Amino acid sequence: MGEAAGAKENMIQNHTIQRDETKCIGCRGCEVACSLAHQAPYRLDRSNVTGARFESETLFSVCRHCEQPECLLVCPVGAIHRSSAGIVKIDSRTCVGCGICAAACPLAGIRIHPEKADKCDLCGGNPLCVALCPEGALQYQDQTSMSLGWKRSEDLISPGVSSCLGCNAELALRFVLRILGRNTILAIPPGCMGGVGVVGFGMTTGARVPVFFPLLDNIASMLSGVKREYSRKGVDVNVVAFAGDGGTADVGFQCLSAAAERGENIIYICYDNEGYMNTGFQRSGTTPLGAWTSTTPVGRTGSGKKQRSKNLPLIMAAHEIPYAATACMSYPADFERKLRKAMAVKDGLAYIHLLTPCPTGWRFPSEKGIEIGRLAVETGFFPLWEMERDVYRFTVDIEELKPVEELLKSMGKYRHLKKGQIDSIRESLVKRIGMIRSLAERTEN
Amino acid sequence: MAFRKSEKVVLIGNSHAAVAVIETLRREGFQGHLTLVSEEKLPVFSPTALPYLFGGREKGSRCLRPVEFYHGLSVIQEKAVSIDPDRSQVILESGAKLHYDRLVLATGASAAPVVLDAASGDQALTLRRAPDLERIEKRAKRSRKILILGGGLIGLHLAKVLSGKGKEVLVLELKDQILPGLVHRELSGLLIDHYEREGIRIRLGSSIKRIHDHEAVLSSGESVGADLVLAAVGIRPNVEIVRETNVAVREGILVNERMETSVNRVYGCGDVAECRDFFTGRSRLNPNVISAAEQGKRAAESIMGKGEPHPGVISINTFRCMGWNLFSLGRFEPDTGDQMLEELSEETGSFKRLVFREGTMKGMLLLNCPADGGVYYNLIRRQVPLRGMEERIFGDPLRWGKRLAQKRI
Repeated sequence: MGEAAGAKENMIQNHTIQRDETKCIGCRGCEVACSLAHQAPYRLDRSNVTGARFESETLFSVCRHCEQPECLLVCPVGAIHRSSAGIVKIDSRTCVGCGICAAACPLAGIRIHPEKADKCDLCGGNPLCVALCPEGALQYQDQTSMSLGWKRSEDLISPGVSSCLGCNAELALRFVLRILGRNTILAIPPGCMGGVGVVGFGMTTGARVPVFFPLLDNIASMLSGVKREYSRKGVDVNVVAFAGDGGTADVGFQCLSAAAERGENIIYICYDNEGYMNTGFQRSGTTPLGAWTSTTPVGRTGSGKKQRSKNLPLIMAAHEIPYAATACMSYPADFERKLRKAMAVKDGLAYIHLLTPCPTGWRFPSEKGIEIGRLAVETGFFPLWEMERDVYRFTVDIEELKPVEELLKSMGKYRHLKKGQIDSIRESLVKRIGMIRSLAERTEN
Repeated sequence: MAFRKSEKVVLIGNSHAAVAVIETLRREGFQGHLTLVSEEKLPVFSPTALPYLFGGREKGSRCLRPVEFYHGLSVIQEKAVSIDPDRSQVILESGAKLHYDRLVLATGASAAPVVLDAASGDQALTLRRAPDLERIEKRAKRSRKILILGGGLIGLHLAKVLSGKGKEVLVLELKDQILPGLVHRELSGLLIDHYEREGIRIRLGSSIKRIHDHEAVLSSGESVGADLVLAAVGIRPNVEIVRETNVAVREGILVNERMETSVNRVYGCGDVAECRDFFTGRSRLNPNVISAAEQGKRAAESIMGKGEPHPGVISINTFRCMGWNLFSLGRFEPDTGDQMLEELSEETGSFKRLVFREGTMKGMLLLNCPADGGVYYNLIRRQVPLRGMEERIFGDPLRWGKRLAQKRI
């Protein structure tokens, strides 16, 4: 069960006030702040935000400024607008107080005080509730400034690497280095990102940070040595592997597993495009059930891969390392948070399993990578979760999974699937989500 | 059927469902050609908004969408009289023919007529579109005693507005309660008392027999003064456009869970559409704004080959009765086996009733009891399991609503 009546499809929120549940003490300070900013001061019943103690815990509720707001669609007098910056506002002069918006909002974002409807307007971009929260539990997240922040940070990969059109792994690598910054040493084994020139030709490399080209089977061992040498010198540096699924799940697994077990302090990012994509789309340990690859062909006798993929992120989490997570470039804010958590780990290995849809190998139009990543998450094919010191939780909670067919039919590598195969894919993904769910519930209780 | 980029979509109607179709197509990246056919003058007003606009000066700002909203699509301000599905054509009043690849019927509904004088064909005034409002405003100015036929949402809303203007208002309702379908009998009684206290008289089981020279004779034989008679006795879906076609019609145009009619590439949504009921599975009309917007959205998604099937229509209404707030949702009359929790508080004048079935929400009636209705609507639509929490939710529907909306259970 996800959010009960919560986050619906297409309700992408550009601006949100987020609360850290662990810090909130339910003091109603946000309510005071809101009434101070909008209404008669200290009229808590007029506050557009709720932040109080309720049923032995704390409650927080505020408008989420949906991308396609239901309230806007049903207002009979056209009083609700969404600004180009993404702030949903009610024009109180136009509002007639009919209350239909509140009856349509699935997220309890609108309050009807006797004559008019009212809701959070984010104080025009500088919410007072956030500023006045005594516990620092509230955070204003503004997607526009966030993406501008990413854009302003330095791109540490040179332009003109020779990856395929629409390559998600290249996008991810650039993003990773924008977050990790220059204090990073990179290891990129043979694979797509090695092949496209990031590790360099001759005397030059394609990255503005030191980059190694380890063998497929010694990535983690090599980085262990690099990290230990810097630690010995007293230098704190991000030592990062950016390796494909072949190098991680298959060829280099023994040394990764050993490094995890030894507690080496490296960040290991596996970009999973579900096969050996730079050498001609051969199957790997993470190629999913039913998928076409050049070594699991479709024809009279074959119908795609017969085996299930390794559940590699869970295998890594089972090493009881400080941090393991799954991520996808379709959810960049989520990915950034995870990278920062991985950077903060100083006592062991941090592992991030990154899904990177591959237009060439998966056979979909090159502009669809982000959409397909999103679909993979929304269908439950690739759930986004993290394990932080044995505490498991979903980071993007999809309440109602979309039918997996939507994902499968969006690309060529599943085009041949028969109903029975789709059923077993569905079965397997439900099982895997259930597994994470039960781990999350175990730690919740 | 996959959507082609060059397709021509024709949309007939211009109210909530139609606006939802336009907005959803835009969001989904529709690149075909969209034509809107509606006889109503731009900008249009929502029928729901009209009683609120009564006597108001700045009506213009309260239109459904400003004129700029329609930029980028072709608008034909003319009545569409019929369709020819065999040739994929819409026939306009002028005789002009319009080709479509896909057709969305969002023609809405009209107020049910009430004939006051069979001989002259004189009809009671009704309120459905902007010109009706002007007509009623003009006539109301010259009237002192006003008779309103129908104790539903529109009738009672008009009664409130006119009584606020100092008119003497009498409401006649044919059934034995007001707001039929929205509240149960007991609550109806409570509300009638409230209206009467506020100076609005309501007569149940009553209708008008004839009217002559400002004197109306009621079904009871009693005669009352009436300078103006308004009727709000329900609505009739505007289905004339599909007469003599294969588009299946019962009361409204029958649509499936993807808003498709019985004819290929013709969709229906909003007040004109008859859709499967969430609880019974039988098709029925569900004329309200929230349902119309939802159906419009589904129709557009269906055209684009996206989205999920419509789970079925659920009644949802929110209404202000002379300062009292009413919210009515789903099936609030319990069937056998349902769990009903109910509380009437005389001193605060509040009433709440929640109906559950096997741990899921079925219906809700709230009077003067604040709660976020949309949350509960979605608890029903998504059949969110709430077993064991029923009593607690009933205890504090406002906070539980907020909690259920924001957090995992």
